[in-house]
Amino acid sequence: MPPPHYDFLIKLLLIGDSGVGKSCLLLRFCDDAWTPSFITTIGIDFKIRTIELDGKRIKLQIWDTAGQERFRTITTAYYRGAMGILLVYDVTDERSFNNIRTWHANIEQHASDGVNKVLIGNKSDWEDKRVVTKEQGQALAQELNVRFMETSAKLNDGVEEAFFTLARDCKARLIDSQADAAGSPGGAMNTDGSVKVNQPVPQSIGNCCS
Amino acid sequence: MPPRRHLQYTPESIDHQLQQIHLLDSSSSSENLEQLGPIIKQIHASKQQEVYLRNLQALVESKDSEIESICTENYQEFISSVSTLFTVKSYTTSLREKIATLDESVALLGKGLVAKKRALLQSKKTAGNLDEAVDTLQACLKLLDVVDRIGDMIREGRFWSALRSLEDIQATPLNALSQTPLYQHILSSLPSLRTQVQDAVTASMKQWLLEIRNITGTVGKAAIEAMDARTRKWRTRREKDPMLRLSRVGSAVEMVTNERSDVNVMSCDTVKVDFQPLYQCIHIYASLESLDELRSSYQADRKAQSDLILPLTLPLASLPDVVQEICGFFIIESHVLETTSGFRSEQEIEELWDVVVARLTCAVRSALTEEKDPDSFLRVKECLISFVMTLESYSYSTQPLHTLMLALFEKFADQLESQCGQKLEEVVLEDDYLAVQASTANELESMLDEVWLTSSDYGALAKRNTPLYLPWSQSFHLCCRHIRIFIQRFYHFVDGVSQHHGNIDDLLSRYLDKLLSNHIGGSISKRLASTSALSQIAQVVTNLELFEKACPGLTRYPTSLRQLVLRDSKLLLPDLFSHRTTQLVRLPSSPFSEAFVKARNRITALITSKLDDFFDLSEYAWTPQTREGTPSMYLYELMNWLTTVVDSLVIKESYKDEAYKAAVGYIAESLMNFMIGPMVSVMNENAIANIATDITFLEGEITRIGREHLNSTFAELRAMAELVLQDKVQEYLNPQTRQTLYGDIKPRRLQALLEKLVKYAASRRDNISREQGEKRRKEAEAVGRLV
Repeated sequence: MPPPHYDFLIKLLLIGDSGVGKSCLLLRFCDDAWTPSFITTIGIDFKIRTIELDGKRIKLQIWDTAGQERFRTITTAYYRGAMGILLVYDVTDERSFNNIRTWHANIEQHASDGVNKVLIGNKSDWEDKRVVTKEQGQALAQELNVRFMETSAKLNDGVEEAFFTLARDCKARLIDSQADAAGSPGGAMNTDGSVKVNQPVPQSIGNCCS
Repeated sequence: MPPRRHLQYTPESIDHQLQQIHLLDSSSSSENLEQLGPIIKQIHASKQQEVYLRNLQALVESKDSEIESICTENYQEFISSVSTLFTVKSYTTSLREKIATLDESVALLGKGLVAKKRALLQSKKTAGNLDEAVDTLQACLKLLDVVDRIGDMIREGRFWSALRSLEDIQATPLNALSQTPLYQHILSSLPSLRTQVQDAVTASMKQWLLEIRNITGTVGKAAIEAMDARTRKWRTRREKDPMLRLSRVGSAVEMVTNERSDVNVMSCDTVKVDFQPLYQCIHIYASLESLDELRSSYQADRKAQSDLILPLTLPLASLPDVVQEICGFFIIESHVLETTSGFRSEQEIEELWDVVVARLTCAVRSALTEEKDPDSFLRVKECLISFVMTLESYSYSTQPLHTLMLALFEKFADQLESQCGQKLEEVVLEDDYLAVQASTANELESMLDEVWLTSSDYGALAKRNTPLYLPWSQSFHLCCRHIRIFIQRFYHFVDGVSQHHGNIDDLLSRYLDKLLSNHIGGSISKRLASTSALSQIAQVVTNLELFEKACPGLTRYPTSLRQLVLRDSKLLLPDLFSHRTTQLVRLPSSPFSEAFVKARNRITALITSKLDDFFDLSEYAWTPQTREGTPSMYLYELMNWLTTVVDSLVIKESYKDEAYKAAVGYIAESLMNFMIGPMVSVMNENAIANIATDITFLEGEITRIGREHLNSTFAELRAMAELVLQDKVQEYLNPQTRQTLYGDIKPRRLQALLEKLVKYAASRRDNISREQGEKRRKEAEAVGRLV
């Protein structure tokens, strides 16, 4: 097998209420596109984008979950595999903001310990309809001890930063610290040259690739 | 003178005769000499004068002596008598003078009298002449007065009276007047007077023509409005009475019921047309016996007027006005034809009509050349149909207009098709392919009314409570709506167009086919390419199924609509009426088959591309030192994703199975690619064992979701892995065993896999590996020979 065209694979997860714009954020980040129509995500979907961080090619596999309650069992299964989670709410929808605590509790329950998180207030362009202030968002982020950012998938405002920040956090936590622990940057290198990030896997499945 | 001879006077006879004289009555104052005459004459004749004179001398002497004697005796008395005589004489003289004077004065008097008489006679004669002159003058004056009055009459417009007066003048009996130069002059000027009358009446008629022109439009408008009102009235009436359903406006039944309220457009609230000037003119010209002249000039005038109605270029906005003008014009023509016997001929009017209709046709055609909006065509048609119906009621031939309307219809249908097609494309391309929600019962009802559904689908949906999600996305009901409108407008245009266009229904079928296949089906295919959400594509598939199910309803719709139109309109399409129970429109079996295939392919393509992403992240180790006890992590995610996504698709089970089949096939293909493809060059048995574990996992999962029939897809992979892992290549080389046990394995593939193992062994330093490698190499060669 030829060497993979990336150095690290990082799995991210988008969660939040239905309609807050998770799929739109993903579409913007991966395909630089936007659609006004509200297409409900069926169960689960993912997109891939390779980015460069500190000279390393990082492949991001970003899982997009359905916000709808009926898909909750399906989506929860993906929590454990995620290295970073974007908690998304809609600044024009107070309910979605209030539900963040529930989503956070779900992470606590199902995701791996120490998973990186970021709180995203989406639709920041829609000032007329805004009901959740930036300060409220910040206050909640502080309380949950996560980063906070406001984004607009429509205007492509803050989207790149959100994903890059989370990816960087994940990289710092999982790869850089491992490399540090191993004493050399190539310590975690596999025979085929890629770094296998051995995150805990769901359902007692062991490491997928070694 | 012999006889005289014997009458010779003898002195005796003379004496005697003288005695006789003597015997005269001396007392008589008068001398009696008459007797003397003949005697003297006798004497003269007998030439006895001498004798006689001597006798007479003798007598005188005797008498003198007698006198003397007497006088001597009575001279006294004589003297006194002389004096008396003198007195008498003076008296006589004075008397005579007096008489002379008197005579003179009388003569003088008479002379004056004669002069006077003569003057009198002269005067009398003069007076007579004067009387005569006065009479003549008075007659002339009368004549002049008449002539003058003729002038007034002309000015007052009493042309007929003027003409009659002229005739009176001509008919004046022969009398003194008729000899006058004045009369002659007037007689000679009669033609010019007639011309004056004619000119005046012509002028008044021209003025009338001008006025008529100004109100022509109003007349036409009134007529068209009356026809419209009549149509409306009839329609209402017809709705109430099913017996009248089949009768149109203009039919006998309608005519009878309409009779009472017939509107006279020549004299109604809005307009009053006074034909008097024309009739007068005709009358005058007729009496002047120059009706032909008037006829031709009138025709020329009307021709000019009719030419003026149509502008060089006709803006569509002014079409109603123009049509009203034309309508009014020909209604007036009709009226003139009816009310004047022999003045207008039908042929003349037809000439005008033909020209105007030809020009109108031309103008409408050119005005619509660039027109893209079907509504414009419809408006033109509506405008023309009222016009045609109105003028048909005046028995004008409307054939060319019907032809025009048919030509317009063809263009209209083209435009309508392209407009509708455009809308359909927009609707299809702009749809977000999310199920439509009906939030209220009304909303649901109105949507159900728009779409064509099978009766069972309809029944099921109609029973549901709102709010609910409908099976379709908005493009379905919007397309149904647009097609409904298309069909309605298509027939709306046909409504009232009397000639049956070749086969309107065939035409509609062709249009519908185009709309469904190209505009809906084609656009859906186009839309699919830019759709990447599986849920949307599933919606597309569902929509397509609904479209297919809608086709029968759709093809029945024109039939039901046509029946309505026929009932509702004018029974102008009798040949269609016989087909009313048959289906009018036919469509090709499946206008959406291509879109269907594309949609299903698109689902497969999207799934496949996602599977590619998964395999990209598979991160297999191809030469591990140990075998994994558990399947690959990525396959968990893959199967989880696949089942979630495919099972959640709101499409028919068969499509899901198709999707699974394609997906499983692709998974098997991808794994096979790892095993034999060039991407992986070196491989060991552990890696093959791991893949075998993965295949077992996949088969388990596929069985779990109830699709174990798809597991056969992995047959070759599994058999190949087992063959190698159980080291049974030799068995494979035995043709019989190969056929019975390993029929799935293709030699070339097995060879490729074996060669990867050979390469792995070659990289190892230990003897076991080398031996193993050598064995594999031989096997590979042997298998290679089977190819």
